[in-house]
Amino acid sequence: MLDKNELPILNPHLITRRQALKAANAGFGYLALASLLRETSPRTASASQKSVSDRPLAPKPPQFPVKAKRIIFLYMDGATSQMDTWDYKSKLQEDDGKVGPGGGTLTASKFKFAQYGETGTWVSELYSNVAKHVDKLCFIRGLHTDTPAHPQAVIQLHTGAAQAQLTRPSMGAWLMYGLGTENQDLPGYITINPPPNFGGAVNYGSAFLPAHYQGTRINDSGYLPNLKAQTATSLQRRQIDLLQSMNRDLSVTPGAPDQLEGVIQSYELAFKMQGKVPELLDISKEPQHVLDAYGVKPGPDGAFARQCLMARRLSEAGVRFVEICQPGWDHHTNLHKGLIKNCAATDQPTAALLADLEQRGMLEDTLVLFGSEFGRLPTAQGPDGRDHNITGYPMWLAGAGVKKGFSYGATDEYGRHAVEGRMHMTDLHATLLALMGLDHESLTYRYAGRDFRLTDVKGNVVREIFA
Amino acid sequence: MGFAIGETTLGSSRERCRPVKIFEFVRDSKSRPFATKVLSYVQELYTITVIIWVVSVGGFILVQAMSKNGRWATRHRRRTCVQRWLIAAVASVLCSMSVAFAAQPIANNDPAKVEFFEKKIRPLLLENCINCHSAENGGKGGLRVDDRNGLIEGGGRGSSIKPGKPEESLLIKAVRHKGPSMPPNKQLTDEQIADLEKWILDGAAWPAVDVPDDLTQHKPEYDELKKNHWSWQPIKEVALPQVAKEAFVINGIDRFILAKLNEAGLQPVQDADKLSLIRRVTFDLTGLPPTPEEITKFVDDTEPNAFEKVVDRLLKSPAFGERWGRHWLDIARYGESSGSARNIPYPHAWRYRDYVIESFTADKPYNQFIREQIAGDLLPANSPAEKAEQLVATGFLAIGVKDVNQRFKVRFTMDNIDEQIDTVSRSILGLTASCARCHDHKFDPIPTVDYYALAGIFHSSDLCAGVKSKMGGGGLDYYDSSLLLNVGTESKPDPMIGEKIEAAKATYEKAKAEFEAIRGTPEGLSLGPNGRPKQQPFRLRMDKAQKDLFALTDPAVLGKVAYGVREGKKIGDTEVRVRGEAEKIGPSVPRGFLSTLEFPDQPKVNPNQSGRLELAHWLTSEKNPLTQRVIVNRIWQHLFQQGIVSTVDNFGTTGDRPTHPDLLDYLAKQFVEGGWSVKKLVRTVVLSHTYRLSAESTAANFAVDPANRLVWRHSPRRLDAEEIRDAALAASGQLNLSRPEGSLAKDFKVIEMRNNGPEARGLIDKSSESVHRSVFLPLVRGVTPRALEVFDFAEQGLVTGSRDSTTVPTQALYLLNDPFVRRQALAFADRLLKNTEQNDYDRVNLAYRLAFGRPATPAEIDRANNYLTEFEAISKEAFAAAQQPESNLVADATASTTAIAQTAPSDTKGMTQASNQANAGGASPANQPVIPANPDDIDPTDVPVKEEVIQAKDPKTAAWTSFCQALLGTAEFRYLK
Repeated sequence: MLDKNELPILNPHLITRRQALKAANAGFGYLALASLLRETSPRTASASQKSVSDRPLAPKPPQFPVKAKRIIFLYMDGATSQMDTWDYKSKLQEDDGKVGPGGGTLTASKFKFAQYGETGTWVSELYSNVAKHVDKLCFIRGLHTDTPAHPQAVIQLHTGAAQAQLTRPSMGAWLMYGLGTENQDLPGYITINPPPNFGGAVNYGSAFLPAHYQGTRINDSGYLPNLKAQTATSLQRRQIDLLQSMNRDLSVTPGAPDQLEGVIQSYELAFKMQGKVPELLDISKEPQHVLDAYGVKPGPDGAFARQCLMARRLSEAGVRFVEICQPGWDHHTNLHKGLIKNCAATDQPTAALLADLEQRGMLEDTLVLFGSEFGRLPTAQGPDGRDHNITGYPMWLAGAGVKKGFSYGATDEYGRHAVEGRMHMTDLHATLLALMGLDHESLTYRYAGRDFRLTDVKGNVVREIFA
Repeated sequence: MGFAIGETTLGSSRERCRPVKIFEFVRDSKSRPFATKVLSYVQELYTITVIIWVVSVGGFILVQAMSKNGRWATRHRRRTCVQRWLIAAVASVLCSMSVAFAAQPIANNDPAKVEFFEKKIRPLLLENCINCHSAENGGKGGLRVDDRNGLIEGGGRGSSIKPGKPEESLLIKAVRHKGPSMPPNKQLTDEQIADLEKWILDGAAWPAVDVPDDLTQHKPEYDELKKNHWSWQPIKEVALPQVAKEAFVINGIDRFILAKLNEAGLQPVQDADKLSLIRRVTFDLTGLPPTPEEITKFVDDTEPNAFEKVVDRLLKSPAFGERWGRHWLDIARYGESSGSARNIPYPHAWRYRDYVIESFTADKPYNQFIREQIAGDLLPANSPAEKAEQLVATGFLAIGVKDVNQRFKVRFTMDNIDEQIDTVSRSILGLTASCARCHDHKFDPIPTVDYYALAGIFHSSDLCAGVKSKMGGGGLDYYDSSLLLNVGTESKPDPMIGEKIEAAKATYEKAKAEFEAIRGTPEGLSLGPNGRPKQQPFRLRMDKAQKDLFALTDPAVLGKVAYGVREGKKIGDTEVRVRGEAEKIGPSVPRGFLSTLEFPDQPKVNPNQSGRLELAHWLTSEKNPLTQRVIVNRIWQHLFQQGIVSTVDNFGTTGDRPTHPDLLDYLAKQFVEGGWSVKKLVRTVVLSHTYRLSAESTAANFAVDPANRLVWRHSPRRLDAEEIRDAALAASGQLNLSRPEGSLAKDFKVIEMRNNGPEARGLIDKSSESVHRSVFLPLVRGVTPRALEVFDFAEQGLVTGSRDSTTVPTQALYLLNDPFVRRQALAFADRLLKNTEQNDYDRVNLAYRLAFGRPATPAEIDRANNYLTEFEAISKEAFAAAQQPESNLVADATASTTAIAQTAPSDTKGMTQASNQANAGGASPANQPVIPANPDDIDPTDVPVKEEVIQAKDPKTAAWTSFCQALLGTAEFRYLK
């Protein structure tokens, strides 16, 4: 049954099914590597042909040198207004109230901007804490995407494509498929408080990739289903010992399933996870100064701070891809107060995360990505709002593999359209994969007769931002 | 040089009343192959003059086309296409005048007029409209001005321009600020308005869509593929192979298998023992374990036909339909919501689920089963019940994933058609036809025109899934009760209904008018004391009134409804969409089927109908080799873990080749001769000697064929998610084999669901508590019941011919800690302890028989007893400690067997009321849904998970529960030999 037509590990001459499964359990991207390395072209490779390939199944380094080992994505769900935060436009400030090109009333930001750091980068007062780290950041300012509605844009940000008729695997699932996990006691892909709508599970799903590549969804109190032992540890250990002795008995009988070794391992791993994972997700044991630095507090206002701290702990433990989420940016109305509230919830924790990662030396191999599914317009919507804008908006990166204090691309004088260094969402995906050491054109998975990619048939790696 | 081609097709998807449509292709002298190929523009070409002219001057062409095939036939479409171009070339030379004459009325790409558009109109639209009405910038009101058809079709207010008729064009009324005033707060100059009027009067010229050359180019490699690729050749007459060891042969299957094995120098292993065999066949056929009584009966039955008796009993069981129906539901990407960007429930989808199960239980011939699903609404029916059943069957085409938030109707339509084509072609034919949506198929001979020939069929049908598309809607905005199929009424008519409806309608209209009046005004947007816009209460009142109205008028409330398809209001061909972009209209393609598979006397599309009926007949024709091969292969896969063709959903050139091509054809032939009976084929296969082989591996065979592609043994398999859950319920004695009514999601309102809200949480909890067979668990997309989720359940959005079988720690955690598993372990223990006559020796033995279908060995019984004794002793201490109130690991022992403690949610954020989840009707005021002004603004807080602590009442039960749970967690429980 394990033949979802793309498991090139089944090379009968060189490796048994059991060995192969062991390898797969061991992670480290055996599956994907084999796919990356396979000789035959996708055109002719099929499950059976692959299984008689003569090529040894040795893992080899990916095509690109690895710049980042893991990613933390700080996702601002609902689309942050860039003209009030990261994308200062003096012309917009000057032309406040005038009719803008293409119609609409230009609306200056009501927040003060100042230049920070040696780079003199303009940042809004709303992000005065993150602004202190501005010389570490690598802005990409010319992003654009395809659909100015959240549901599709969120799905596109997470899976590369928004066509409902064929759900695609999420970016994190592709990374799992391509790289496996570093820490075998932990899920390799964790998403905390993901948007419960806008595609929901699609955004961290594995679609046609094998199910174990999907993201594990937890909330900021660390709830994971079935993680809490329901029996006292000593009794449960006895139970597992009994169960394992039954499993070992079976393994010596004729016709025993090949996956038996995997089943046995899965219990040992599960038992360990019950102990380690809740501990890892429990931020209450962090020293008070750390909690204070992140601004951890109870209630919804502290949710993002808790997530930031959890993200650091998970990354440190070797989780490949962690996504955390601050919702509530969809400011068609209530822009002013809404921004103050959301920025207050995210500024200090984000700055603390950057400082913490740096202090621990983790920025060397951890990539931080911050941003939304699209941006907002420089023009007014109602008395206190801005509408969606997919034609130009920024995100920023920090850490492994990217230039520090750098800015790539730009929007026009009002911050509406990307005019320089234009980067489609797909280019961002291609670039992130490249930073992780994967070639977006070779990271393919055969499904329905076709080799699928995160970037579909597009995507350019923007090497200009590489350190 | 110019090419002119006229042709007639009856009806049109885009035209209301024009009986004959003339298509015109004019070849540009320069690089662009077909300058006026943009056939949408031909829409205006329907003056009598032109028709008469074409009939007379272009008669030659028409006669050519008509005399051969009656119309531009679907058969040999590719070839005919080429012929047509040749004919066209000749015709154009013969009547070169025709080009100038016929092209004239098209007018919309006359260079001078296009230049006028580019100079005057495009800048005007860019300057004033594009910011709100374009694909990039919102498409407010569903209108886009960056596409000519977008303007013609218009948005929510209807068509925006009528080419040739500025006075009837809404766009002109809007810019004159008569009616909707556009642009808002700005008046165009008189000159600009005059330009717009002139442009519309002149036919609303627009630059042509660039139709790629290869759309009409013949591909010789396709001919080769059609001739040579194995899967679309006719079913072969195959002779039964001779084998040396005749004793091995029970039926024809064994000959094919043995012959191949011998060729490879392999010998089949010995036969499976009886215990393994009955467990294997019972799970394979019913998805359930055999009962201890069934096992004993079979083991004790020494008659030569003992196994046959078992098989026949299983085939008769309703459980067969539940197991094999579920296989089809995987392929039919069954789900109870729209999934995707906005997850909208399909509360009536379960009718299709039940239809599928009943069809397999009744052994409905597979060809009829397919015909009903494609065209049930067009088949003759002998009774209202049969009619209803056939309507429900078409749910197959309706229950797919949909993006109801799609702004542009044309994209919603074409995306749904694509989903239908993908599902039909992969599930029934094992072809990936939807690859040809944007370009000719790269690997298989499926040209884009074939795709749009099929698309025309679905385009001529109404997709009734109870939902429509809308951008940025909320509440019931996506619900469309006119897109439901009536399958019977059940309630008594209310004599007062008319008055009640009138009253409700009046209330709704009033509330709507009040909301519209304040909506978007400065007053409405200003914030009230609660920090929300003042217009919000108006919206809530409107929503409430709408709901009350629905309660009286909604067919889903008043009777039984189902999802499916029906004939569209507009029947006709559709056009190629250039590069798959729904708005980029290319040449029209006559409705038809895939030219990959052409066989003598194949059905032709009825010009007065959608063509689904003929598609159904084409798919199920005895001469169509793919349909048979694909289903036979699927059946084989479900019994041997891998198909004769391993890529069960892909029989194209990128798919795998059959290991036993002759066997595949032999089975296909048997299948069709047996009246397309799934049960007969299953029976033949499981009664073969091959099926009865042991799972034992031998080093010699393994060295040659480790993947067991030649079937030298029976490949062991892990139970599916449903089987694991059902088997646990069977062992615990809790399984309820009756069919529950409908689905746990059947009362859901057609309102967006968030996956952490109260509905989702309630569904997960109820699923966990259910004791019905797993096939009846609710399958709202993105909210998969835990028991299914952890064991590689089918991805509910995709055609899934074969599931994964992974081994991950999540499964172990589930089996150790999930409340469902713990409940079953406890019930299992109670079941064993209930019989006070038995001693522990017997109990362990029974436990093994219930869990593994075999008795325990003496060593196993000793081990179990040691475990139980020790566990009980330790438990005693724990129970003593548990008398202390603060303990929560061992709940208070009470008289009942189960004590379920609900602990406070461990959510540091604190629980907040879900803000916008309208719940099922009749909510108390406290539960009144609060729909925010912005439906995207939703509460992200998880509804807390109810934590259940399930504990036995005493140390002995605790020990047995732990033991039983260990049994359910073993590999032996979840693997079949």
